[in-house]
Amino acid sequence: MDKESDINRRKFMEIGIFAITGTIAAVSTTALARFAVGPSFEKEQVKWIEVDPEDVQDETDHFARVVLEYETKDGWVLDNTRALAYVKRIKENEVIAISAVCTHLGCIVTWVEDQQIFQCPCHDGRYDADGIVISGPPPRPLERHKTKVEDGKILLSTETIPYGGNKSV
Amino acid sequence: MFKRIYFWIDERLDIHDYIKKDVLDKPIPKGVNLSYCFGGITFFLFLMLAATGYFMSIYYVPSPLQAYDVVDYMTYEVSLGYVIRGVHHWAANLMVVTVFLHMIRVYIYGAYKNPREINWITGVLLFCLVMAFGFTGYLLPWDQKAYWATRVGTSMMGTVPVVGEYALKVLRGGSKLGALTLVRFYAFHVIFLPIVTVILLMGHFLMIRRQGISKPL
Repeated sequence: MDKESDINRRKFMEIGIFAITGTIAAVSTTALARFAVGPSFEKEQVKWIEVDPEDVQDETDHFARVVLEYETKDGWVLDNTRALAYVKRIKENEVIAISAVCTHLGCIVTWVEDQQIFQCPCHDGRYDADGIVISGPPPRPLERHKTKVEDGKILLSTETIPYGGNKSV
Repeated sequence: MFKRIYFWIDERLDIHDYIKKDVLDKPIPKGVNLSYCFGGITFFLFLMLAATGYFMSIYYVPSPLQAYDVVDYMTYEVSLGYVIRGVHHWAANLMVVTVFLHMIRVYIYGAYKNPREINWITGVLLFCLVMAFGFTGYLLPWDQKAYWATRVGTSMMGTVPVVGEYALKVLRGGSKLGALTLVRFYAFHVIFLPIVTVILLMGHFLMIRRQGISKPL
């Protein structure tokens, strides 16, 4: 018997069986694993919400009260998210948008125009017009939304809005 | 590496001779042809259904409010979802076909006769389980087809004399086809039926090992 005939019909079938089952097992395992991982590593979708430019006039000291409302997806569950922001035009092509959610316990702050402060109704936290804490219990300044102005359209990013938004808005 | 692990296990459990003699070099009667594969193909499809089914349970919700949306989501938005669900769908359809072919072969070759009657009986029970799997699984996507097919299917139960009315209500979990029906069909499809099937399959296979396959005509 020479070296080549070491692989006889029986051995060939044996290798064939292992090769075929191995391939089937490997392909199915890969596909199933990918399916199981599913959307685990998908990034949270950030939306840009358009604000009515009528609300945000030329540069003034006035903050417009803007309700952001958009659809969010939690897997297959669709939900509406609402959040409140105060928007002010600081230059022709630049606006700032401050989240109305108090950093203390999440109440909705009010813009007090004549004192130029944000005031929280719950524990009297006060912030200045930049959202910096002046007095009271809030630990951090108010959150800012990313903003951009494109072709006269004012857009606010939903990035800093927590899932579910602010139910009290 | 694999060889060393294999030898390590073999040294302790002495499996090599068993695999050689009873799996790879198992003698089978002369004249066995391809029609003898239908049972094995059915088992292969069962394994595919089990694997895809387990993984689909990661997403599925047996609630009338969510079932349709979640099936849509897992099929079209989750990566490879259409493949996994497609395999489950087609394997289920094919399984009914291969089970029939397997049964026809056993019948034509007279393989069900003494001493293999018990195996034929477990086979018939397994056939009923395949039908039950198909019936309960059909409802789960909770689309129009699923709803009306199940409505018709369960209504048939109501035509059974005397006990029909009660059997129908137990099957649906009440007089209407709704949330209760969906959850109990789901439970049957993924918990009750698989356990019974695995037990019967073990019996089916152990008996064929003990008795050997019947000689061809």
